[in-house]
Formats: sequence, C-alpha cells, structure tokens
Amino acid sequence: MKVTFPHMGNIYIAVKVLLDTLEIDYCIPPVGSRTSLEKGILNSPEFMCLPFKTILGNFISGLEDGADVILFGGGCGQCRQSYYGNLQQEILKSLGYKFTYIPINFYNISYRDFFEKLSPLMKGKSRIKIAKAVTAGLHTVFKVDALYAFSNKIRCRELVEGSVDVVMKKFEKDVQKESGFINISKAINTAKEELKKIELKKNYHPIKVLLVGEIFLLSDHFTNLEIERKLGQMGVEVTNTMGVSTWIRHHFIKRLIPIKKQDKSIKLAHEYIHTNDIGGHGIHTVGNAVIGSRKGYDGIIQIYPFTCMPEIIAECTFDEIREKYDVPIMTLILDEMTGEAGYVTRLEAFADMLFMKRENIHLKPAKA
Amino acid sequence: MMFYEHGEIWGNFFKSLGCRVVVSEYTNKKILDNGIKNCNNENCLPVKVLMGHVMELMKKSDFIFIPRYTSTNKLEFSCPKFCGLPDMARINLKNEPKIIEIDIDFNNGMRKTLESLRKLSQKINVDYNKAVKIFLNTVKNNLKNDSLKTAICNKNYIAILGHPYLIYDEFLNMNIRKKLSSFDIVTPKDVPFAIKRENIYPKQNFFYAVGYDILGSAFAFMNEPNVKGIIYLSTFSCGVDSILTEYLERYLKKYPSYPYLKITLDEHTGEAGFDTRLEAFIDMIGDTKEVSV
Repeated sequence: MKVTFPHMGNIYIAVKVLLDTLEIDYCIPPVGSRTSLEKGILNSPEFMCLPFKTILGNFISGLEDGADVILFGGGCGQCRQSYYGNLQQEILKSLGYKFTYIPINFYNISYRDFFEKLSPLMKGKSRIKIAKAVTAGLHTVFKVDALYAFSNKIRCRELVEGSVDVVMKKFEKDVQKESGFINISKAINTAKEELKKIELKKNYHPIKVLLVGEIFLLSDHFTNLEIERKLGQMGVEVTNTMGVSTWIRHHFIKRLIPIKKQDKSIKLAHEYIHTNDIGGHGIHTVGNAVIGSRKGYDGIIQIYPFTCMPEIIAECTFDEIREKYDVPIMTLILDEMTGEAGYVTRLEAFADMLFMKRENIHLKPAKA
Repeated sequence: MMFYEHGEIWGNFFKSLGCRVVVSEYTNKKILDNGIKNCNNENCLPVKVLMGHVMELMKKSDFIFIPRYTSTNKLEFSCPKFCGLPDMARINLKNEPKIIEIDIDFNNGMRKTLESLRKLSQKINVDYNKAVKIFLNTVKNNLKNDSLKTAICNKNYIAILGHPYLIYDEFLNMNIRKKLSSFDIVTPKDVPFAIKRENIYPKQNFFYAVGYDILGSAFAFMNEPNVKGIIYLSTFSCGVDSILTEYLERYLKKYPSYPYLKITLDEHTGEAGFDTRLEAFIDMIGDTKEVSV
C-alpha cells in the first residue's frame, strides 16, 4: 500500500511527518512540476479552476510513481472544491488507474468518522500512535507556516539580495530528503536560525502589502508564481492571510472544538456581505481586506484562479472598500499560463505606485 | 436568476403581503448593455443580465426583491453567485437601500430565513408573523417545483438542458425554441423532482440543486427513444457547468452516436454562428425538415 496526496503549498511537509510517524509508505508527487500540471490540464474540463487541474496532475504523477491510495480532503457546500473528489475519481478511472480513494470530508466531521475513513491505513496501529502522529503533523504545519511568514518579513529587509532565498531553497531541498518528525523539525529550526543570522538594512521601512484571496493559490508557491518572493525582492513586506495552517484551523480544529466563536473577518465582512457564507473563503477575503485596510497596510493584492465563483463576489465589494479606506487593491487572476513577464510587470507597477503614494510623489500629467 | 422557476411563487408571496408587484421587461439588448456597464467584468452573463434588470426596476419600484439562495433542499446547494447576488446588486448600485432579500438556506434549517423575513418585514412595514405565515403557505413547499411529467408521445423531441435563466430566456438563448420549431422541446421542467434525483449519475451525497435538475433529467431523457438529441446551453466560464458537462460528456462517450450539442453563450449577440451550429445539429439528427430561421 502506497499513499499519494495532492500538494497545497507546504502541506506536504506535514503530511510527510504524519505518514512517517505512522510508518505508512507514501510517494510525494514532484514539488512544483510543470509536467505534472500539464497532465492535469490535459485531463480536466476546460472551465475548471486551476486548483482542480493542479491536484489532478499531482494524482496522476503519484499514481504513475506506483501509489495505489489517494488521500484527499474535501468539503460540502457551494464551492466547486466540494465536488472535486467524485469527478477526479471518474477521470482517473477512465484513464485506467486502479486505486483506493479516501476522501476526508471536513463538513460535519467527527472523531469517529475521521478514524473510520482512515481505517484501511490505520490497520494494526494503536490509537496512541495515531494521536501522536496527528499532533506531530499539526505541529509541523504551524511551524512551517511560521517559518515562511518569518522569511517574508526578513526578505524585504535583507542587506545582500537573495540571501533569504538561498536559505529557503536549501530548506525546501533538505525537507524533501529528510524524514521523520525529529529530522524535519531540525531542518525547520536550522532554517530559522540561519534566517536570524542574515544581515538586515537598518532603518528601512518597507511598503506593507496584504495578500488575500483563494486559499489554494495563496498557499501554493508554484501556482501563484512565487508572489511572496517576487514582492519581497522588490522590498515589499508581504503578509499572507491564507496558509495551510489557516485552512486547518478553519476546517479541522474549529469543527472539532465545540466552542463556536465567530471569526473576526466574517464579522467585518458583514458590512458588505449580509450572510455568513458565500462559498469557499470569499467572505474571509472581504473580511481580511477590511482588517488590512484598518491596520494601515499600504496595499492589498487579491489572487484567485480564473472562474473562481466566491472570489468574484468578493471582488465586487472592493470598490466600496477602496473608496472608504483609500487603500489600493489589485486583483490578479491566474490560470495555467505560467508566463511570468506580465505578472512581474504588474507587481512592479503596483509596488512603485504604493511607494509613490506613501512618499506623496505625484507624477506631472504629460503636456497635451 | 430564478425568475423562470420561482418567479410566480415569490410574486404570490408579495401579493399576499399586500404589495404591488412589478416585474421587469423581458431581457433585451438595452438591459444587457446596461448590466454589462454596471457590473464587475469577471461576472458571468446571467449576473450581468440581472444587474440590467435591477437597473431597470430602480425607476419603477420602491423595493427590489432579490432572494438569496444558499440551499433549497437538504444537502443541495446553489452556485455561490446566488448567495452573493443581493450584495453584488447593492454594491454595484452604490449601497442602494432599495434592495430587499430573503435567505433560503434549508440545509441549515429555517433560522436564517426567519431572520431575513424579520428584517424584510421591518423594511416594507408588514407584520412579521403574517409574513412568516404567508411564507410558509406560499413559498416553502413550492420551491421544489414538482411539475407533472409531460407525456412523451410519438413525436420528435429535442431536450434543451442548462440553467433555467438560459433555457427559458428567449433573448439569451436567441429564441432557440422558434429555431427548432420542427421539433417539440423538453426541458428539466418536464421531469418530476423525484425522477431527477433518482436518475442522477454518478450518485452523489450532496450536489448542486441545479446539477440534480440538469443531470437527472439528461439521463431520464436519454432513456426515451423519442427524445432525439440533447442541446446543452452554457455560459462562458460557468463554474457549475464545468462539472456538469464533464459528467454528461463522459457518460455520453459510451454512446458515441447519441446527438449532443453544447453551446457556450456570452454577451455577444451575433446569431449567425449559433444558427449554423443548430442547423448542423438538426442535419445530424437526420431530420429532413428545414429549420425556420
């Protein structure tokens, strides 16, 4: 039995820890591979959104490498993500692959459900071991996300350009080779230590940009064309509102903990959207944009995959937010075209504009 | 957007509350253009058309009612756009207070609906209890619109599938009924609620309500020998359709000789290309009668 799972940003590190601790054999689809994406595109419906295509590509790569169990988390609701599982099974079966599909439904999840679903994998494993593995996995998720957030903070302030990227690239390389909770934790810690050693510019006040939008794209560095790195190198401090840890907090921990507390972002979004759910994370996008504007971010960038339904609704509200808080918001829509030049140009222009806005530089209108 | 399915029900609801109900004109070029101008560009065609209708109603009415459909049945959901429609309309019209809404989220029970009914009754000045009573009588159980099965007799039928706002709107579907006048038309409306749920393939635990309607009736029609072919009308970049058509097409691959045509519509209104494809489709079915264009 060999397990494969889709990539969603750095979630592979945590799943690796989880499966290592459980001593389950697995194979990870290649990280950030264009070939894998191509395979997904080839077999997906035309107007399907980018996450579907990426995930399908991951599955095909994983199955080709000899996996026979697919692990996937889904939901239930308005967003298309809830219906990925069934359709992907159909497509993969028609391609002639043989596999067991384990969907984990995060809607109305309970402990028993969760263990029942995973029972084929858990055979002969004690509960204590499972609990240990899950805690180790969760711990890793939050640690890795914290590491990436920290690197974003440092990157814009580094004295020697590219020194953060060297550390992060080495970390990504190491982590794919390492296995086991202890080794991976060590890799994370070394990376953090090395980041702390990097020399920083003194008295530098970077422009602050908040990233909002669709969670898959925001957390996946390959599909969002490394927006955090690109902005960081332009001297912009990036804060990402959505990461794998956010996703787990929303769908996993909150559902299991009986205390219900309303999200701050949902509360703030109520000014514009009079309901609690417009599918996906659309409502969080609106709420986070409001939070960001109130906290004094210089600019906000929204990213979503082409034809994403919840985010389009969220985008509609941005006109109001722009006017009310006088904050520039740019929307970037991504699809499977990975030409970077146009993307970089737009990011550069946005960063320049934010800088000019802050320094109160006004371009003189050209003489007619 | 649900006008062609539930328009009458909501009309009755407001009439019973003692309101005068004004309905916008049938979609026309002016409404479409107006909608495109006042709407976020990423939106799909039906949302743009809806904005056009709202703009038109602005002049004619005191309040504009847009229902917020989240789920019309247990474990059946609607497209996210439906959940955000009242908000999108309000924002596009610069915080227009005229827009009133009722939440339909039956998957999570009646709580949200009652809440929204309370707000609505305050706004249009009617008694809350009366509104709830009328809602339960006129709306609640009618949303499942259980139509009678049309008897399929010895005639030639063509099934037109798609979202109701496309297949019943004569402007958007370029008057497809008239163009196919040599055939009789059947649509998901002609299939009863239960049969649609029964026929769905593959079996889903939860799905889009419109998905049940379209896919369920598609597989029901395919079992009818008198239904000669299926035409699927879809809009550009429709998220729900991207799933539905894929299921349908994958299923149809097993029957390569079954006539099936998928037409993707957007805000372009040139009819020539549309007609050509329809004609080719009719030729494919093998009917010698000419289409009246």
